[in-house]
Formats: sequence, structure tokens, C-alpha cells
Amino acid sequence: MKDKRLAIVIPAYNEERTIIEVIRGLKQHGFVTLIVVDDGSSDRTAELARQEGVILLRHIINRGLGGALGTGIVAALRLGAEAIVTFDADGQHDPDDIDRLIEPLVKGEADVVIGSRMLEPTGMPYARRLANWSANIVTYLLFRGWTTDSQSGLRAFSGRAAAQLQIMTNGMEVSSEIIAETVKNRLKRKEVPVQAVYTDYSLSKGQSFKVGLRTLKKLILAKVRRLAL
Amino acid sequence: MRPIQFLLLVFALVALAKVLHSYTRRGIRSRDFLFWASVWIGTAAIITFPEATSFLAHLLGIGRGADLIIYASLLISFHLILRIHLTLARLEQEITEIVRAVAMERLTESLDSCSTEGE
Repeated sequence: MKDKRLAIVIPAYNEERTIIEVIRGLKQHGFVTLIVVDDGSSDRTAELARQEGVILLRHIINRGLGGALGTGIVAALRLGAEAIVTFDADGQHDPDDIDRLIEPLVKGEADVVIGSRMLEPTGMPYARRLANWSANIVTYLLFRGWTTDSQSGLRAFSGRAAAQLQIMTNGMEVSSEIIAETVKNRLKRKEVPVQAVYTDYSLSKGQSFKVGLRTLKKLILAKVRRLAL
Repeated sequence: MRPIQFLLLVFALVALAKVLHSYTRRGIRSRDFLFWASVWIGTAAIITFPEATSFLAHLLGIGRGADLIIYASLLISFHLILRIHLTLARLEQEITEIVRAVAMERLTESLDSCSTEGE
């Protein structure tokens, strides 16, 4: 399913160091519909992505991961995608994993597939493992959806499932919100192990303790809003 | 009237005047006007007749009228903070929708130009 029916959504904010490599890697693996959402970067991310020949969407101001993912998904659906993969622009994902990721979609075994870095967490720093498990527990407590890697940026959705997602958050908290949406819409969720490439760069782009706390606060507010809706 | 009562009363009346002013200039909605007007009229009444709160406090089993006021204002403040948070979240979401619409518009334009080039 490496044809036009599969759209890869790449949210990117100030990723000029890695964006070219990420796009080329995906192209080498035969993926043709690449949607880069430049989330108001102040560096050359958008320019470089355009030179690589992708579908480029630009946010005029920075809105955060959730905003960028939402835009990418809307665009993918508009282009008629039957399956959507989200892929981080920091170079931490391996394009090799996408085939395994979309397999449950193709076989009709799942509507949403999470690429879990925690099933085979070789090479993941221990502090990062602890942070991820904490996030999983928080996600479960707030939204009743258990995954081994709630914060993974590598996910696959069927077009039908993606159309059902109502993303209301703008920042990093979107990852947990997506899990919440799969629970709310009773979507079949599956996990497949993926490899995370940890470099100093990708680690620096991840969530620090401070950002983690802010995300926690926003998640609790998102929970309040979901209750009020 | 004690000096503190006088000061607080002046503050409440100035605040009330501001509310009235912004309402007549159509700055705020009727609902908000009624809410804030009653807040400041209520405050002015309590400042002028503090014994009334003691009566209410005793009814509720709270020792002093002043304590009742502190409890009530804390509750109201927390409620308002939460409402502000939710309003901000909604505004954030609306900003995102605008930013998304702009991005999508350009996508449609570039797709249109691509398809014309292909013809």
C-alpha cells in the first residue's frame, strides 16, 4: 500500500537539521504522498521541505504538535487518503517500521495502530522510559485507554478512523488525546513494536520535565473540557 | 462607619461605576453586566451592613461573617479561574482553526495550479 492511498503526515517545527534526511528516507522506501506541516518554523524547515518536493502546508504561526497533526490529517483526508501515518520530523523513526505499522490496517485488524517504542526499548535512556511509563499511566487514568507508548509519534489510522478523530488540543498533549478519541469512538487499537533512533538531537526535541508538567496540566484541562462537552 | 469600611465602599462603588460605564458603551454582554453589577452591589451591601454576614454565617455553622466571605470569595475565584482557562482553551482552538484554514487554502491553490500545469 505504498501508493497514493497512503499519506504520511510529518509535523515539523524548526527541524532544518533533520527534515531533508527524513523526507529522503521516506521517499527511498517508496512512499509517495508526503505531507509536511510546517508549524510556523523560524528556520528553513519549510524551504527545505519544498525543495524536496512534498505537499507542504504552512501554519502562519506556531500552534504546537496537536495543531500541526490536525492540519496534516485534514489535508490527507482532503487528498482522499485511505490510510494515514504520522511520522516525526526529528529523525527518531525508522521508515522500515511503516510496513509493519500499516499491516493491521490493511488486514482489517485495527483502525488505529500505535508504533510502540516501549515494547522493545533497547537504547532508550532510563529517564525516558520512566517518563513514558508515567505518561501512559496518566493517559490511562484520565482517558481509560491503555497503551505501552501513549506518546509515540509514529501512528497509523485508517481514513475512516482519522475522520472520526476530534482533536481539540494544540500541544504535546495531543498524543494522549488521540488515545482518548480512539476510546470514545470505539476504534480498534493495536500496537506494533517500532525502533526509536535516539540521538542527542531527537532527545532534545522531546519533552523535558518542565514541558511534561505543562502537558500534564493541559491534559487535565482537556479532561475537564471533555467532561463538559 | 470605620475607615476601612469607607475605603472598601469607595472601591466597590468605583468598580460598579466601571461596570456600568462599560455596559453603556456596549463593551460587555448583558449577562456579564448583571453578574458583575450584582457582585459589586452585593459587596457594597456587605461592607455597609457587615452584621448581615454574621447572621448568614451562623445559619451555615461558620463562626464569623468574615470567614464566610473568605470561603465564598475563594470558591468564586477558583470557579472564575477555571472558566478563564476554558475560555482560553477555546480561543486557542479557534486560532488553530484559522491558521489551519489559511494553510488549507494555500494547499488548494497549489493543487489547482499543479493540475492546470498538468493539462
